[in-house]
Amino acid sequence: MKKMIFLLSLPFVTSPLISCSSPAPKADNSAKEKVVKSASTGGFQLRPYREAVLENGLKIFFVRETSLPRLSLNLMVKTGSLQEAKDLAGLNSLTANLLEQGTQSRSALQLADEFGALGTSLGIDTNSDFTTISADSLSISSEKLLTLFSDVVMNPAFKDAEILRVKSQMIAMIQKKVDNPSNFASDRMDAFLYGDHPYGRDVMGTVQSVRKIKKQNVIRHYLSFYKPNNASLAVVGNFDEAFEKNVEALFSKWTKRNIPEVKWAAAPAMEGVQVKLLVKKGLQQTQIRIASIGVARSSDKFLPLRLSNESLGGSFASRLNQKIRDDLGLTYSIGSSFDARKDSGDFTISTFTKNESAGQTLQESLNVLDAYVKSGATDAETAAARSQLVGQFPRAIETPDRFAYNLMVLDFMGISNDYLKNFIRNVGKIKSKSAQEAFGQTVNPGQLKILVYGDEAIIPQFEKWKPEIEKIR
Amino acid sequence: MKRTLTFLTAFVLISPAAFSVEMTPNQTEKPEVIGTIKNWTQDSSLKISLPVTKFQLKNGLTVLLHEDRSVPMVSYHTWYKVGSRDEQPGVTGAAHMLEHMMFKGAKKYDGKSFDRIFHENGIINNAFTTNDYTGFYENLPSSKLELVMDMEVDRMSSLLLSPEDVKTEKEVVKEERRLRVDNNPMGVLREVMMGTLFKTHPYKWPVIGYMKDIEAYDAEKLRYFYNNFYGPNNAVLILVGDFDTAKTRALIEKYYSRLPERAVPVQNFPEEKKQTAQQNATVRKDVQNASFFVAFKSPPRGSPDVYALDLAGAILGSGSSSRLHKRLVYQKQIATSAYSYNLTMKDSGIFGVGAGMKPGLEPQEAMEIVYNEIWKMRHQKVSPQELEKAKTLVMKDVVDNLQTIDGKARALAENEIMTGSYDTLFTDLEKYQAVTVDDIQRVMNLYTQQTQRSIITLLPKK
Repeated sequence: MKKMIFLLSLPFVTSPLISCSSPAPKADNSAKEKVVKSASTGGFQLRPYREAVLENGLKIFFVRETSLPRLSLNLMVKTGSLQEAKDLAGLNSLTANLLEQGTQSRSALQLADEFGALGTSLGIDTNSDFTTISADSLSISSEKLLTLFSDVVMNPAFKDAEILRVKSQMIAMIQKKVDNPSNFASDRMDAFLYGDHPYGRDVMGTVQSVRKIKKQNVIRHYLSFYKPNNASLAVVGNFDEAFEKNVEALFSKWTKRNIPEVKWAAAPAMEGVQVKLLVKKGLQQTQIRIASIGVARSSDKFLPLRLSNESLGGSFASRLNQKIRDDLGLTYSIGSSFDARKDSGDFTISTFTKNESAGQTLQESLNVLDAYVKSGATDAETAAARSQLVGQFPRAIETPDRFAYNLMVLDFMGISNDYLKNFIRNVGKIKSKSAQEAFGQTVNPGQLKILVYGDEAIIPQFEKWKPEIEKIR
Repeated sequence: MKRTLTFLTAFVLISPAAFSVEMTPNQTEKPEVIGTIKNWTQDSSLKISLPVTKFQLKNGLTVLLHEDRSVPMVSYHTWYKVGSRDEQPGVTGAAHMLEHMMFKGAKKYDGKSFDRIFHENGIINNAFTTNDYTGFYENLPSSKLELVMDMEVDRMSSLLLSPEDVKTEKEVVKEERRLRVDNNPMGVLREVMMGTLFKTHPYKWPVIGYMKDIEAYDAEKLRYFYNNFYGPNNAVLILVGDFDTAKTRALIEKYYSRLPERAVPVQNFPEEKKQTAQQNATVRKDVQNASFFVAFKSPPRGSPDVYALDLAGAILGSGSSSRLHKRLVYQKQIATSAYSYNLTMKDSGIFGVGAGMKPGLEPQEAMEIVYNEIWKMRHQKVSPQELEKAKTLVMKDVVDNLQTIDGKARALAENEIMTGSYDTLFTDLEKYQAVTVDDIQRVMNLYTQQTQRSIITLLPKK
């Protein structure tokens, strides 16, 4: 349910779009570390943390929280599918997933058993921008967890049999994607919007590209990018100073290397309103995506756009939800979002409806968008949006894990970690007019790409948009 | 999701189950401190402090309060003891539909007030419906506590339920059903599974209801549900977060005490006949791969056998170190997923084992392996290491769920509403700790014989 997440969970936590940052660092005697005491956000205290940079370049955030008997480790490698060649799409996912399939001293099954004995398993998540590897355990098992975790990160075996097995698994997963209409529509929307830009590609790759990946590609990718000077580590939970020293000592063994710079194709320019229909016989519902290129996370428009999106499609009270769902009963869920990434992410409106009302739902959604761009949010809508961002902000950093994740994402995006400290103040300063301007400069109702995925019977409803039609088997 | 439903939540170790209404009003105001986990370990670092103040108003409303000042917010949960099990044939999905209607205005906060006011005040809200209960929650800046209380009291006491709103919202729910079931092959598989496993109990129909029943709802049918099940005596109120317990208690008494107790219908469910032969059901859909589910009826929450079955489910199919994952996904490489769990509801449980095949493969080989693994669990003792791992999973699951104020509120709410006592959240851990390898073998023999199983298969259309 990508891009509908906002309806399911709080928007701060799940994506870089909403990452927040930390209090101003205070000077420390050590050249390579800083200790940040709790700082006021203008509303409440941020938790303290310690930041250390090892000689090999690995940045470590230590966030101590002793109220629960648990510990988590989360490594961010600052490489995602952005760094893949098009014909080897899926290479980063394959590499990351192979980390738990055996090290120099432990087989895949041994790793599964040893993590399993701690009540955990390795979490591996890859996206277009970066890769995270995480594991957690009860704090009585901290040392064991650290041993296993550092082993998978630094000593993967990349055995032939494991590569074949994971490739086969990935191909099966790619083939199955069509059975989830929502995800399938979102993936195809990305491809339509971004063309040859890596954001247009599935992080899993394609059946063809995964088949093509060889062992040497995996090893080269790992040795090029999975390096301490291209990573940061969060150590979170119930631990003491001795544990911190162990972490630093273990990860100091990881050797650094120059990270290659990778260039990628630009996203295609928007040309008017383009509609693509994907039709598959027998579908009971039509998925609709309306998108354009948005902004990068580093854009000055990031916060004004977040604020303006709240009123358009960021909540149950938003214009899209009130009109399309509550007034017209056309859908169960509709929302809009800006996915701000390292490079320009997308703006997308996502919804679905019965086949019979597919054309109507698209038109009504476009009408809402059009009116919003023309007149912008009212002062009352902006005030409500501001309350929502400010009111829910503490949840973004409520747990030490969420807080540490925000620190890592901000670090990755190259954004000052004053962001967290000043978030409430800065949101309060945004005026209706500037939010509207940012929105109008970013989203043009005359420049959109629209993807619709439904039963064949929907075709006549879209004639006026002169769509490109593709039949899905 | 708001106006949504939780159906089969995967791998539920902290199982829902039978409850008894709390009959001890006006308990002492002294918070009960729970959380010292006996028999778990000698390590004092594993103790968790979760002091809860519990009391009951004269009208029967049960209240749990836990102060937590980690963020300036409150997680406000109102759970009602009503779910799809309280429905009748012809009005399936009514509990879920009523959950949707709870956002459509009441006497004081009418029309679209709920969405608008929550939004204006920086409050996130949502709700869910299950077979056994319905929950509403808000996560709010702590300064908005009294506002939320006023709104919850309003819709607990005087919901509007206008025919026009019912008409529009039916269309919304129909879209939800298409999303979850009709346009979702795995949703169809789950629906068929419940219909196969249960023959008489309301668990046989889906929480979201059948399309023809959704189409036939009217305001009166829903009002029956509202009048019977949405009284204070059928609800549990749980607040976790940044507040003062004494002041909040006074506020709750001020707002909620005026609500009258309502008579809740006594449910007499016909007993399910004992299954004496294997049952089979096959669904064909336009899908890329075959999937199957082998399901057994297991005992309800509160039964002594639940703990061993939960752990057996974890050993068999939780995570990449589980027996099924190793055999089907890793070694044989014929499935993309393999899992097992024991789900316990108020009146029954489901011990389920399932797998998703790789495209192009028939499910028979995987089914044989599943039967074989179940057979082994019945005939051979699991290793002490496997049992210990499963116990660690349970413990870690409890700890992981207590990381946020919302998580704490949910954990307390679920235990209180399903067992009548929130502290089963921790006392259950002692029961898990007491399970032996012999217990695992005994319960597998008791509940997973061939004649007790139902096999539901999803196959690609030819």
